[in-house]
Amino acid sequence: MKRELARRLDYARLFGIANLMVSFGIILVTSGGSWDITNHILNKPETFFAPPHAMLYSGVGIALVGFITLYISWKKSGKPASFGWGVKITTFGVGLLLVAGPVDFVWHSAFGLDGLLSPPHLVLIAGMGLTSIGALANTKSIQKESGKPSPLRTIVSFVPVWFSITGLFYSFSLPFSKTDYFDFNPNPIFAAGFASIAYPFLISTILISSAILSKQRFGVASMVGVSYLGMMTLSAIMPNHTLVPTIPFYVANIIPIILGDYVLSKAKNIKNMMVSGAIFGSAFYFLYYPLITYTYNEVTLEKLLWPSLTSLVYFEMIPIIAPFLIVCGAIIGAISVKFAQKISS
Amino acid sequence: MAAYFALVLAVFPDTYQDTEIGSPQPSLQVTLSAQQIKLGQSFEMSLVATNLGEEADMQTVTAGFPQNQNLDNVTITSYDFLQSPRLYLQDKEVGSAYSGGDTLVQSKYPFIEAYSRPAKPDHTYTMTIQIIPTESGPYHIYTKTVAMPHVTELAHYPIQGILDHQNEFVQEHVIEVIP
Repeated sequence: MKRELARRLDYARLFGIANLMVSFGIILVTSGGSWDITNHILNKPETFFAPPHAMLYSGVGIALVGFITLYISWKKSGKPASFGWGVKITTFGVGLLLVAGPVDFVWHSAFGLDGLLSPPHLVLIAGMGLTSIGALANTKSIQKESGKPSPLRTIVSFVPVWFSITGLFYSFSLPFSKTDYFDFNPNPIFAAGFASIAYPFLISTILISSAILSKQRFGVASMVGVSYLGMMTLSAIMPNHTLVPTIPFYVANIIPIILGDYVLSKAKNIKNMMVSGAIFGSAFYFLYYPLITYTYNEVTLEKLLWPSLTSLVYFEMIPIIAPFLIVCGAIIGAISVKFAQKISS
Repeated sequence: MAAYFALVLAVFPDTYQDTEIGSPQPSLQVTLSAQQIKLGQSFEMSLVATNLGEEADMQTVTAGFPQNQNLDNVTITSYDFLQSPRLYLQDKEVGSAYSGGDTLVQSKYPFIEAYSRPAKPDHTYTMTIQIIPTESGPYHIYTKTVAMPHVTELAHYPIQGILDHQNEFVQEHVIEVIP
């Protein structure tokens, strides 16, 4: 009896490690995806075999190994019902990731340079999203069972969800989907409207949920935000040498993240939490630098955006649209607190 | 938050808007294998492009054939630009006046466009093309190179001369084809 219990505990520990591995794999997939977007802007790669793709599919490999381990350990520990949903969502997500690779390769072979929004990319993004959401659901169950929140688990589980959903939102707000064969570019007005609602909603939901899951312990939401800023700096800013001088500007976004987290850690009621959501949401135009330049340029300056001109156009747009977007983001960020509470409970 | 908004709305934009944009300076060396050929014979044209200025987001090199109806008599024999060449026939929408595709016109004759994206300083890219003229008499070819973003007059070569169908300056090369 004791031996059986010990064996189950071992599998439970293995399940936890494998779940982290799945999330880490998706972090690599999403970082590779973000780097790939930048690489397409800068270098117009014409082959499937590009360094960002290598990183992206290495992440798929790690997520797959993690998933197999996760599934076996779940089965060996007697398929606890509390992890059922998380495992099912992860299984579906990994299935989509595996399908996306060959489909993406065939698409590249048939149509050459592909756009951001394409059928294989949608499958890939859906796979990333579901896998990371499944792993997050597992993290929530692990923490519920153990009774104590783990900051590391929370951070590693939230970052890939944030990046995956950002990838999905990019597809519907960036004008990167016109190729020789297809024009899947979103309507510029729709794209700008969508970005103005979707991004602050996502930022606020992710940061508030991560804080709730860690029992509003100060530092967890900040670390999720810092991880996001770090990954964006590495994958979207540093590869473009003309954007490197703007890193201090981008790093300044740590201020609303830490401030919002602090307010959240002291929050006693929903009103306080909404203040925190408003702080997070109000910074979305700055947090989504540099790619958001392409979205709002289409409806404001309409300049031809070469990579070396991105920051100039971005800063030129600030007096035109930033005040409006700050207010809009704050309202959406505050409203999304209700949603964050609902999904975290 | 006031300090944050002061930084992102005023301090940083003021700092970065004074940043100078790097100015690329493309150059093009064209060599012909012969000045005169017999009808039915081929000749080679070598186009060597360099960026003597700062890094360009893109550098294009164009060889246009104003007497051609198509590119059937033109073959690319060597090519080391970063991206694959683009072949254009007449009556296609093409960029003009160094606008990078912002202002479009109809092409009047076929041309080949080689391009590297990005074009780093002092890197050299070469394209060699083989041509078999189909009629006797003088055979004209137009060449040019353009760097993007086109921020100064030095971002194209030649900087003066004949204007082509894209309203951009070109160098003219003539081969005498004898019957």
